[in-house]
Amino acid sequence: MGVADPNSVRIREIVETCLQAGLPAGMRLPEEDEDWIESDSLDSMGHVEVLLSIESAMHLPGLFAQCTDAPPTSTRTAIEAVQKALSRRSEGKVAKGEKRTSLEGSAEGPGRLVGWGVALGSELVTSSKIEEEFNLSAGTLSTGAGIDSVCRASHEENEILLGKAAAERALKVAGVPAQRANWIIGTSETFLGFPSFAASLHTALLASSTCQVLDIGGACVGLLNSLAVANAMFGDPSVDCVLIVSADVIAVS
Amino acid sequence: MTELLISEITLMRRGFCVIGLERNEARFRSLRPVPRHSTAWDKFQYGRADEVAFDLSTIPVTSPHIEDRLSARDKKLGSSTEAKLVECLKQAEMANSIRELFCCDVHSSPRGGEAVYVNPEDGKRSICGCEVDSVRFSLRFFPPKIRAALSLKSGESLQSLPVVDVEWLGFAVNLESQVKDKLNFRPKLQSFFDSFVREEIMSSPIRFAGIGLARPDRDGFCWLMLDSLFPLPKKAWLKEFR
Repeated sequence: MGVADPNSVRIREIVETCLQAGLPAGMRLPEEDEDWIESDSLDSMGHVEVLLSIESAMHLPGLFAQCTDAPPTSTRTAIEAVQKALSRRSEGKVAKGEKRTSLEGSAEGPGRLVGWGVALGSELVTSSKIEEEFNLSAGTLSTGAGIDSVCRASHEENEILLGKAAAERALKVAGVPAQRANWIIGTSETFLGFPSFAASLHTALLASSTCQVLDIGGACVGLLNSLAVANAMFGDPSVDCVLIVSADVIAVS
Repeated sequence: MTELLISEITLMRRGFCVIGLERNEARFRSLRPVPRHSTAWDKFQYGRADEVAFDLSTIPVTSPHIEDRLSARDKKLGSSTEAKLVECLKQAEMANSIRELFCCDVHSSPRGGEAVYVNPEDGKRSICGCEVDSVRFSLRFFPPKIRAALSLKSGESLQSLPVVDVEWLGFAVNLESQVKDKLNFRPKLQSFFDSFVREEIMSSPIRFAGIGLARPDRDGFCWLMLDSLFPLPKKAWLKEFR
C-alpha cells in the first residue's frame, strides 16, 4: 500500500476547506468528480469565490488565469490545476537559481529596471513669475540656475494622483499591468495621510489583493532606499515585479 | 403608460434583468420592469438608451429591490444616445462612496473570495451609479465570467465585481471567437482588456458605472454586481484586437 504524497494531501485539504467554506451551511462536500455547479452545490458566484480563495490559500495569485482549459468545477480538476501550477513554479525556481531572470530575463543580478515614468504638477509657472513672487532680481533663476519654469501641483492634484499617473506610465513602458506587481514600495516626504502612501496607491492602481505594500522613508534618498529594498526582495523567488513610486508635492498653486 | 429610458440590461442566471429611468421632476429614478411570471426576461427586444413605454403596476416588493414593477405591455418610442443616457444616469441614484451606494454597510465575502455583499434588510435600493476613477477587468474565469475592479473617486475600491452587463459580456465573447489559438486565448484577451480597452475607458468623458444588487442567494446575501460600465464597448474595438 503506498503512502500519499504529503504535498498532495495538503493541496486536497486546502481545496476541500475552501470548497466547504463556499457551500451553504450543512451541505456535504461533493464527491471528487462531482461537478460543483451541475450538482447545484455552488452557484456561479460561489464557484468564482471558491477558486479565488484557493488561489489565496495556496499563495498562487492568477493560478486559474494560467489554465488553458475552463476553470475547474470539481475537486479533482481543482487539485490538478494547483499541482500543475506548483510544478510550473518549481521549474521557474530552478531556472531562476541558475540564471536569475526578471520580467524579460536577465543574467545580470537579481533586479532590473524595466519601466519608468514621471508625472509633474499641471500648473506651469515661469521662472520670471517666481522671481517676482519672491522678490528676486530678474534672471536669478533663469540665468543663475538655468531654470526656465517649474511645475506646481494644482489644488486638485496630490501625491496619490501624481504618483498613480507616474506609476501607470512606468507600467506601460514595462508592458505589465498593475495587477502583476508583487509589491508596491512608496516613498514620500510630504504625504502624511492615512492610509499610507503605498496603501493608497494600491487602491488607486487597483493592484491585486495579493500585492503587498511597504512605505520607506529617507526623504531625498527615499528612492535610492526603495531600490535597495526592492533588489533585496528579489531574493524571494516568488517576487518578480516590484513597483516603486516616489512622490512629493512641495509646491501647490 | 410609463416612459422609461432603458439604462441597463444585465444577464443573470434566470435571464435578462432590465432597468429604465423614469423622469421624476428635475431628476430621474430607476425602475425595474419585470415580466409577469418571473423577475427576469427570457428575451428583451429593446436596447440600451431606447425610450420604451411600459404598462407598469406596483407589486409587493422585497427590500432592497424596491424598483421592481410588474410590466404588462410595452412599445418603443424612440432612442437616445449613450452620452445623453449617462447624463440622465447622473441625475438618478448616485453615490460618492461605497456606503452611499445602497445606504448601508457593504461586507466582504465570508467565503474567502473578493466579492462583497449587503444584507437585503439593510439595503435601501438595489441600483446606484457612481463616477469611476479607474477600472480593471479580470478574465481569468472567462468564459463565461468576467470580473472588474473599480476605484471610486472617494479613494475606495471594489476589487471583484461580477460583470453582468450584456454588452460587455457579448464583447468578450466576440473577441474570443476571433482568437485562433484557443489554448492561449485567455492571456490574449486579458492583455487586450488591460491595454486598449482600458485606455479607451480611461480617456472617455462619459466614464461611469452602474452597480446593482443581485437577488438574495441561498445564504441570503445580495452580491454587488457591475451592471453597466460606460463607455460601452464599440464594434470598432474588435478590429483593434490582434
